[in-house]
Amino acid sequence: MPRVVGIDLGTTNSLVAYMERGTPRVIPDAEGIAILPSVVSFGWEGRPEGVVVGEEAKKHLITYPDRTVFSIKRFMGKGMEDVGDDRTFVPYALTGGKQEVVRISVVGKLYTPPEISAFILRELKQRAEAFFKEPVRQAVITVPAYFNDSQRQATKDAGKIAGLEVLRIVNEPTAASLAYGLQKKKEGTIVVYDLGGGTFDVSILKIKNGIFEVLSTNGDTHLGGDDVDRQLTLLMVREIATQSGMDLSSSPEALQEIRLVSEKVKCQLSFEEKAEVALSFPDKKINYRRTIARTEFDALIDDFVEKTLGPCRQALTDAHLKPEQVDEVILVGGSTRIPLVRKRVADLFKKIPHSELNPDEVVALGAAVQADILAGGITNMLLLDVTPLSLGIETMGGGVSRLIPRNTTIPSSAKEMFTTFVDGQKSVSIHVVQGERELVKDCRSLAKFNLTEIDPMPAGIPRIEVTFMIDANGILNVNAKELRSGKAQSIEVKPTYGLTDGEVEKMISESIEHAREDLNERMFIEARNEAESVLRHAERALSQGAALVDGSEKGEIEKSIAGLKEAMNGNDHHRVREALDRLDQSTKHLAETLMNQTLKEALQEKKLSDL
Amino acid sequence: MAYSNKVIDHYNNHRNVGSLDKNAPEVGTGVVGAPECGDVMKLQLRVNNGVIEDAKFKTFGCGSAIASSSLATEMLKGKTLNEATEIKNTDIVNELNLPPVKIHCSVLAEDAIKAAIADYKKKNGLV
Amino acid sequence: MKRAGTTEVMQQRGCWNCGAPVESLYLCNRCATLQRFPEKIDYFTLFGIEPQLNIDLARLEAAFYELSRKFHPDFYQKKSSEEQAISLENSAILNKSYRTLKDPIQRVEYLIRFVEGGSAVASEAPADLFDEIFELQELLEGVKRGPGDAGEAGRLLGELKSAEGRFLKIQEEGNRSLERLSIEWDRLQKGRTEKGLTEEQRRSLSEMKQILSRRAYLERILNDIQTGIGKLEKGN
Ligand SMILES: Nc1ncnc2c1ncn2[C@@H]1O[C@H](COP(=O)(O)OP(=O)(O)OP(=O)(O)O)[C@@H](O)[C@H]1O
Ligand SMILES: [Mg+2]
Repeated sequence: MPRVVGIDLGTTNSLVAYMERGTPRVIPDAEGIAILPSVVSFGWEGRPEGVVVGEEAKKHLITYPDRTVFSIKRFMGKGMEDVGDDRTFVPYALTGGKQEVVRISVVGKLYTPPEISAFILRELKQRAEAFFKEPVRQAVITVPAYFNDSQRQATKDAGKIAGLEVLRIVNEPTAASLAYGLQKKKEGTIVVYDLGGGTFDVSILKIKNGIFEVLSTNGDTHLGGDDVDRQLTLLMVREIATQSGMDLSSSPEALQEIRLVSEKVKCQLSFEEKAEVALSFPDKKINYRRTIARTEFDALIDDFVEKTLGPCRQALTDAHLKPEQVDEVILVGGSTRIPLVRKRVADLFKKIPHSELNPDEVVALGAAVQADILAGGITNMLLLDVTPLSLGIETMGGGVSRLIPRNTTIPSSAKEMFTTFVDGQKSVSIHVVQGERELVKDCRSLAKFNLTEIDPMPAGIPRIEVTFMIDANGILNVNAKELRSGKAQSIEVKPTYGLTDGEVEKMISESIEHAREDLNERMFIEARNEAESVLRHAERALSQGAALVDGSEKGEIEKSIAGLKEAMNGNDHHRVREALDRLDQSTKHLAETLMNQTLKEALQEKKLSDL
Repeated sequence: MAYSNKVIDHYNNHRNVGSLDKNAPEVGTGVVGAPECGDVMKLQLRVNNGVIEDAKFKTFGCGSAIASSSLATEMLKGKTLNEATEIKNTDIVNELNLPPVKIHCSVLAEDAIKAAIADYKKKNGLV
Repeated sequence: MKRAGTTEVMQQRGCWNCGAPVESLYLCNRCATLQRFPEKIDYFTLFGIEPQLNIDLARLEAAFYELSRKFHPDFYQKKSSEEQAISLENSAILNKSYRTLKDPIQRVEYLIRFVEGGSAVASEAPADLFDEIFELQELLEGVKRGPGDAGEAGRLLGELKSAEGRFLKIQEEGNRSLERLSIEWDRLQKGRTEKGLTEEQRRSLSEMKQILSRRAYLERILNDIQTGIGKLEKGN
């Protein structure tokens, strides 16, 4: 059974998990830490592609703000038009034309968000490979439930670029429910409230006989702990400006530092009644100190917390449920540690929410469960998810004709018949949109294509059949054909804010090259490190036990040592491993003899009664 | 090409929105609806010597229906009652990339014209 | 009329994989590969229930879960691409049928199409509603433009509220009639196996269609009225 891992690709933190004999576990790095900060720093000589990822990259946030990318998830599947004021909040440069994918410009190169996410995914992939000591090629990746089609597609692209076959895109709250259901073995109606770094999701599920049926989902892909940090940052910048007359909002380094302090303060206020802030910028002669009390903080974030409750109410309405009918509420995501969040959620659903699952890990654990289901491991659990947003096409007059309503169980398909507006019209423009509003301009544009070569007929006569199919990943396929002429129609779908297949292919082939080099390099480094320590031991043994072995044995050992040293100067990890094995064989006898010798000496020094 | 421009124009600026005196003998009124989506449309014609002098509509519903009505009323003017029942334009429209129309919206304007003419004929004892 | 579970649905078809005749709804008895549903499959046959309007929702749910386990793409990850495609299509059909039968209104609409083959709404328009809808829409246009003064706003609000009450009542009456007709239909249909509809059944269907054909207009105008009320109340 090939390994399929589960990945939580978060705004702030990412994790990879796997299933070990029926129990999902996160995979730690060499230091035993499972959480990988979703930060990528560029321009580092001597590193593969000049990139460092995770904790190490996080250290460069303040010193190299313009080439250290964080919160990239906020830009996945987006065009410049959607970015809004996030642009001013990140210190790295965003570019991109109208109706084009956003690009991040770092150290003179342009990267799309999927490419940057791919660096994070690759790091997790390598971590898993080091852990299993075998290649990992397939993964399940989670996305916020409220992600639209472009954002899902972008996540899938990121996986592909990282050299992963993405078997499934799973919604974060539903993934959490899988981990929860597996551990608690409970049935009933549950609400998953997931407030992370950059996104908010709420899902309502019914768990029964191993079926996890999502009844409704809602959320805001642009609401999370980042916003709380921003509130605090703005407060501090404002106060510093009044105190010292200095406006720090144009200094990326200063802003970044204040942002990090804000996050610390926020986290501290989750456990303490007040927090001290001390910021000093000696070069600007700024020395700012103040105490922030929990009550003041709560007032500051009141609107923010309130903003998460609207989607919760809507999800209840869509599921035809009252708060009393919910059996349990589960908290997911780091921001649910904020006491005010817990209180408001408890008030709304009229029950104390559950938080005993580790909110940082539960999504990745759930992804591992889904991965195991797909790999054929678990067979009694099945997740029936829904599409979070309604899908439709633009009709004449700028309105939207809805083909699949939100909260429809996926996979889902729909077909509808349309016609032409004017006589002799030979082509029709199909514009696919996602959203809940009546007018196209208020919805999200997903793709556009033209249905051409319709036989000229009077208006209203052609029968244009438009078919939608949403697969289990929540990703849409659209087809249109004119039935009267019966001709197969040529359709070219152009994603509005996505990468074309060609672009993804190119990025993949570039990255596979790199990935292969990277993997070989890493395996070589690991083998060499091991070789170094084995070598030290062997040389010492040889000098200590020279008298204990005969000449031919000694010669064999020396030859093996020389062989290993030579392999270590190359770059092939296979050769190092072979040389290691040979040395191991040739020193076996010496090692045993030495061991016996040592044991004998030790025994002689001790009295029998001591043993 | 001129025709195409006209269509685009109707798509953007609706004309002939309003109403005529329902009780006037020379005015025919047709009210129709699309039960699939709940759109309703009222279309009125003023006839003089068998020729349609003026046409007005009012539609509450989706943009397709509005655009269709706007175009239909414009084409009605100056036509005789008989011509009006078969508004057809045979130009081939190549360059135009218009979104599709829901089938029931496309028939709404046509139904409304027929209903308005029927009403006029009934009022004037022409049937 | 069509009956659930009869051979009519099961037109002759061969297994896409081994060519053996397929007798069940979705499985080849010889090579055990997944098959597309027959083209004429109806939702009642799919769930193995009688074509009725009052159905046991717990049973429907249980059947839905059981069938989901048979078709869901999760379980075809390692199968041939053809089987994967079939699993996707069958799941989509299953999900749609469940959604339709679960909802009492959609269930009626579906049943009408199922027994009659045509549209679920009456062909005659409910002309009596139109005049009132037009008047109200014109009123609502005034709301959209913004009422001149507080007095006018109050008057508009009053009118909208009374209209809301009126339409809600019509809607409520429709729902009740539909419930009554559903029970009646099931009684008339019970135990019938012959094709064709009785006179009583026809009348029952036509009444249901009358109600359904008003639904969309009522929903639309109620929605617009409520938006208008919301706007006026916020303006105050
Ligand atoms: N003790 C705490 N109190 C308040 N906030 C916290 C605490 N610990 C972590 N957070 C916040 O939680 C957020 C990170 O949560 P998490 O790791 O669940 O997000 P993510 O998975 O990266 O993001 P997303 O799910 O939105 O993509 C950050 O904004 C972080 O500041
Ligand atoms: Mg998360």
